[in-house]
Amino acid sequence: MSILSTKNLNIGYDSIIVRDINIDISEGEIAVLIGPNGAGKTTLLKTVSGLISSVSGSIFLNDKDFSDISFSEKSRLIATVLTEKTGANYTCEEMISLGRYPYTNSFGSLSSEDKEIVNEAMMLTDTLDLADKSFLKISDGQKQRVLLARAICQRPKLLILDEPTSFLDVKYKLEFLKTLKELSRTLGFSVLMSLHELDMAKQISDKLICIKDDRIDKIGSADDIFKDGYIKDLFGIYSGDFDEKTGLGIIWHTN
Amino acid sequence: MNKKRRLTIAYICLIIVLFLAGIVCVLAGSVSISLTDIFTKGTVSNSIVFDLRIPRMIAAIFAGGALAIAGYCLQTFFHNPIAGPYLLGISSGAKLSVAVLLIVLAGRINVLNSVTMVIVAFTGAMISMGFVLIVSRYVKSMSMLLVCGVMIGYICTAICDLLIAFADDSDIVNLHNWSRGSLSGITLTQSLIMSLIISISVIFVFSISKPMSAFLVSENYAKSVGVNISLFKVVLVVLSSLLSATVTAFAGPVSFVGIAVPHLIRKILKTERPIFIIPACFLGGAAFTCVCDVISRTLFAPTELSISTITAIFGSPVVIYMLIKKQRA
Repeated sequence: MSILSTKNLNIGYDSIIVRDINIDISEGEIAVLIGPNGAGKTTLLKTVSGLISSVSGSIFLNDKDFSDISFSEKSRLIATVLTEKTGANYTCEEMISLGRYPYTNSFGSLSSEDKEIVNEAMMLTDTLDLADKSFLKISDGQKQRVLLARAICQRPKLLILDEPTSFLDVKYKLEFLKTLKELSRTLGFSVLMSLHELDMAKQISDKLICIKDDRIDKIGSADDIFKDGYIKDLFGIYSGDFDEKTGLGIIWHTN
Repeated sequence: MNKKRRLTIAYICLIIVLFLAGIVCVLAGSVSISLTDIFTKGTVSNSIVFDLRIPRMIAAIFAGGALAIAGYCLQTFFHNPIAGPYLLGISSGAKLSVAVLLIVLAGRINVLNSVTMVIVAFTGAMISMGFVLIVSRYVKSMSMLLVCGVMIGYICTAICDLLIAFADDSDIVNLHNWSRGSLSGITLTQSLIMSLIISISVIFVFSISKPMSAFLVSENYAKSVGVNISLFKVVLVVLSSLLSATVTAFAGPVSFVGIAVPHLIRKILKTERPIFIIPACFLGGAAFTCVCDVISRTLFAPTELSISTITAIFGSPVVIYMLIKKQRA
């Protein structure tokens, strides 16, 4: 079943940044956006999560037109993790509990069921020991785990992440993506995210969506994309080389 | 739970402090009150307490609470702890419009009731707020926005002083005191109208504490969990303007309560959740303003200082401390 699909979608702010987008993400699928900087990956993620409106075309969520879905219904279907600074001095537990926002009463108080879900999310993301720490004072790796916990508290059908691994060192990158994949399987949600690390995108994705020059250039499995020098084309790699087997860039070949 | 206990103790303390401040507010002053006479009709003590000090205490409590909450709303709106109705020039806008009304219309219209005053003050506050919002579109740095707010404040105060200087007649004898911030001479009716408007606004603020909790994280996050952002922002702006305008209409501009109190409350409660912060801000602001009012009228009694003088002495060091801490962080 299709969770998210778009039809002739044009996105952008004042002018169109990416045009004629037709993508389809089915249940449980992990779709990864790749493409050069400034290609419009973040804009696409923001548009399908409802943060900015599209220029034209349609978006379908659960086969329902985006414009027919209320704010609160949308927030039960999609959880968004964007790379953004916050000044709010919440404890990690408070931050994670906010994920229950779409389900709590008008004062935002947690029911015992909500508390259980929060606790479970903290267990799954290994954030229990951070509970009383200030969100502002933990490391980037811990922050991403907390944000992931918050997102899964929302019990979404689709999780949208914008470069979730960018500020992490390699240990945390691996740990984060592994947890994400496991959670998507156990909790049964789809993932749409952008990644800069092509080697990791290659391994984790069920589907790769390649954006270049104001359009979706190619969609396919990792095997379809990582062949025939396509990645070099996509990013315009002229100096150095790219190893399609490993998904790693090569500065120079050593003999 | 440690957190729950801290909150409970903090709330009990705040209520006790407010209660004591209220009693001191009634009993202290340039005329000493005979406790036995308070409830005897016709005595001086009775009339001072019921005609002057109780209205004044009510006014101090609600003005303080309103300013603290207005400050908290603005801090939430701008995602910055150093925003406040006085510093952003919103109180001054309200002050100027009330002064213009009083001076221009004083001779012609006899009935200048409290509600009219509030409406006019609110209009002035919204104009200032509108100006601040326009500026905030062009300046991204919060400190520049604050400087603009302070400038708006200066312009309004300058025009106000000018008007007062040129319209020096008996109608506006009190205007000078009022324009510097004072609760003196407030009547029971005025204090009740003021507390009614403020109570309603505060209830509204409390009722949006849930979207506030998401908005505090970031605007986009609030949007992603289903907050109607444009409506929420309008409500926040209107409520904070209405709160500071109501205070200004009756007591003139009162400085720094809106920044210092929410900051101290955050420190005391050690939580960021609006649902706990908002009521505590009200209690804290009320107690703080009560105490400042008592000091303003007893320090050099029978001469009365403006309440803003006292709130500034206690409040501005807190703001300076916050600025230094922010630079370091």
